[in-house]
Amino acid sequence: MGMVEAFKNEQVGSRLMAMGVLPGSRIAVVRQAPFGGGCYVKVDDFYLALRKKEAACVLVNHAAD
Amino acid sequence: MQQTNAPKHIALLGNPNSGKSSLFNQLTGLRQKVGNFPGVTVEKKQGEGRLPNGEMAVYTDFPGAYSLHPTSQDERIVVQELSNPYDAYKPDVIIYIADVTKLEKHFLLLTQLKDLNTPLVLALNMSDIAKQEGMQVDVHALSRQLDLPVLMISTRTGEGLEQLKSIVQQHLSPASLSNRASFYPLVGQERSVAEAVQQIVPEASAYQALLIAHHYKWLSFLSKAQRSLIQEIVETAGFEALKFQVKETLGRFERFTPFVRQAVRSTQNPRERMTEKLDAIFTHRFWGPICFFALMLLVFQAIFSWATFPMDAIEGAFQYLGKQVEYFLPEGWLSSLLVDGLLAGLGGIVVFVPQIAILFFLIAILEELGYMARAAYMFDRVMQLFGLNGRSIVALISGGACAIPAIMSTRTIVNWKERLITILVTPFISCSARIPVYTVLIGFVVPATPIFGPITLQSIAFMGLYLLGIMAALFAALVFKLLLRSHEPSFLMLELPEYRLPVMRNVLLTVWEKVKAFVLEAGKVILIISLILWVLASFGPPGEMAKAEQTGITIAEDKNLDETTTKDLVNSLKMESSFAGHLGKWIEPAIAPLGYDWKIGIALIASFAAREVFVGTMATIYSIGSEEQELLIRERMAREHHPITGAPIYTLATSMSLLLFYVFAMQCMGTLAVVRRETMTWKWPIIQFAFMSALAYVSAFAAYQLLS
Repeated sequence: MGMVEAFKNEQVGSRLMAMGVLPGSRIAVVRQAPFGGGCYVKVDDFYLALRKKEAACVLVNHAAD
Repeated sequence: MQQTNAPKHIALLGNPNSGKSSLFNQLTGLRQKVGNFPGVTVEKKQGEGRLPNGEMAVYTDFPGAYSLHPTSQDERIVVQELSNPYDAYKPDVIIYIADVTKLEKHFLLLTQLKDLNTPLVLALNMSDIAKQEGMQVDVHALSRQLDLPVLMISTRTGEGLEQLKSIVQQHLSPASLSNRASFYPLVGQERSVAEAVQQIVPEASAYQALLIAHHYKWLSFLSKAQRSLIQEIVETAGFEALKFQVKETLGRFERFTPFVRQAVRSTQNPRERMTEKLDAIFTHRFWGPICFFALMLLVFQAIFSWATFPMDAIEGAFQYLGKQVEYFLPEGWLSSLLVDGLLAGLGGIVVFVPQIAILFFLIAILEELGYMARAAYMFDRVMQLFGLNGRSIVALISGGACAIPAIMSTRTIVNWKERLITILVTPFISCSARIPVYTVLIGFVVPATPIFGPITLQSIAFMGLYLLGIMAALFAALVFKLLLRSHEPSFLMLELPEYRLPVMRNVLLTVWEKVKAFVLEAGKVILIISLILWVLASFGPPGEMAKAEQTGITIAEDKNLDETTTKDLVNSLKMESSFAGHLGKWIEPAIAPLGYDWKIGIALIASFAAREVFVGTMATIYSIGSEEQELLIRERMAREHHPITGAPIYTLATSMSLLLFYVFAMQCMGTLAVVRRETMTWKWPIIQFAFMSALAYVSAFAAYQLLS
């Protein structure tokens, strides 16, 4: 569990923000996808499927908790 | 005072998974129709519903969207419609549906819509769950902060719907359109650019102008001149669209987050824990895919075992009907037209309604449960290997029902290349229209030997054909992946909604809508083609039919044939000299290497309109060619023999060749039309038609040559 600090990529960031992932949101990886795919992520009170590359664009501060 | 007689337009908007379509179904029931958005030829679901004062209103179900800064085709439709100041069908009121259990993330689009200055009503969905879980929602505070009418509803129980309708009715009067303060006031460069755009598009409101500045490149209501002027404004101002998009999103969230958090107090959510427990299995790295395949197997088995009884009943009913018509009508052309043309064609289609209904029923349930998003998540990596997207799996599964809605579901795929490949390969997935052809031909060549429990050799053969279609789709995708270039980014970023019990009303409405479309749309084509075939097969160039009859009788007398055989021979010769016979003969040289005679040729030609025509066509052709008037096509095919050599026409080789042809061939005008609509050019449907037909021909050829 950590806190979203910023996004490395504006394009990915703006999409994620529209879906409700904002700087300050709590975020955690729940599990990895089959076949070495992306991951299943919990953000505040909802769930998202992200590819590895997309997840890598989210800068997370783990110290916040 | 009555303003106009034109019905009021009410738009339903909301994020994906907000329960928008559920509300639409509640408001309109069976009075739904699918039309097009003006100008953009994109499917638009509309329905009628009565307001409390008795007036009829037209509701439009917009695609789910997160923001007016769109990333997918679905979202673009929303922006295109709502940022258009010229639209004559501009909604009179917008109903915005938000999931009250996750309110914050639904407010971005809500506040954007508010700034468009269209009367807006906020419906907070899932009031039943909120109550169950002891959630406290201060509706008045929200209403005050947003300066909007707000109410709680439940699309599941129907709570609040009457109140919603009367609020909507109140806001239909033009007087309610007060000039409200913007939720996100434009300042600095956003303001100056918007004002400059308003000089060029004077009808646009400030926020519409800002949206135009962001998205002028693809907004189709702008004229060429307007577009280039706006481009100049944006470029001279150095307007960085993406930066301002982020600023706007953050600005809106900053403003509404505090009051939303104050107005809504929730406790720990039990559905969340449930979803987590279920997903620990259903999206597990190892068990997840296994569950997926087990589910698909179950769907299959259901189509075949559940449908047997109603199918037998329908078959029986049509046989009975045919006998009745023959009994009551004098023998002649009318009786023949009704029984051989109309009933034979119609029976061939109605019989497949149970299978189609079951398939759509199960797919709608998976969709409603929230399982489809999980499948997309699990198979994203695999799909990427083939140049597809995780979301493609939704299209590929729905393609098992019908390629047309499946192709339309690809609008959620952001990357054009991935979307195009999905569109191109989806028709390879065996759709429900192929079921009739498979059923008849497999029933013909594969014995129903039981293998294990209810699974027979026939169901294995069926599965094999489906697998073949899937393999063809993946292989073709791979080829396109290597051929097509793309520099666009590709995304998954998919919301995984909490699992919820399907609302049966929604599921049944989907089934009803699809079955109706199949029976009416496909039925129309099938009926017309059956009737044309009956005419073509019953009449021929002047004199030829009579001559054929004479020849037949002469041959029969020479060979000393009995009465039935003589009649069959005469009928067969007559058919051969009919118009249909000439048509079949004309393509016979092309299809002879595949093992088909001219009669199958007729069915093939007819099938290019829609493949489900095959069985009806065969029924029509063989009814006319045969003395016995029963509807069991399979038995008739078994009796088909070459008129001279006496060898059976339907051998293993011919049947396999036909099966392969129907697995691969693009025989559906409806699909081609949709592909044209979604890709905006005839290029892709033509390419699709060409490669699918080529693959069909080559594989049918190989099968026949190897097996015969």
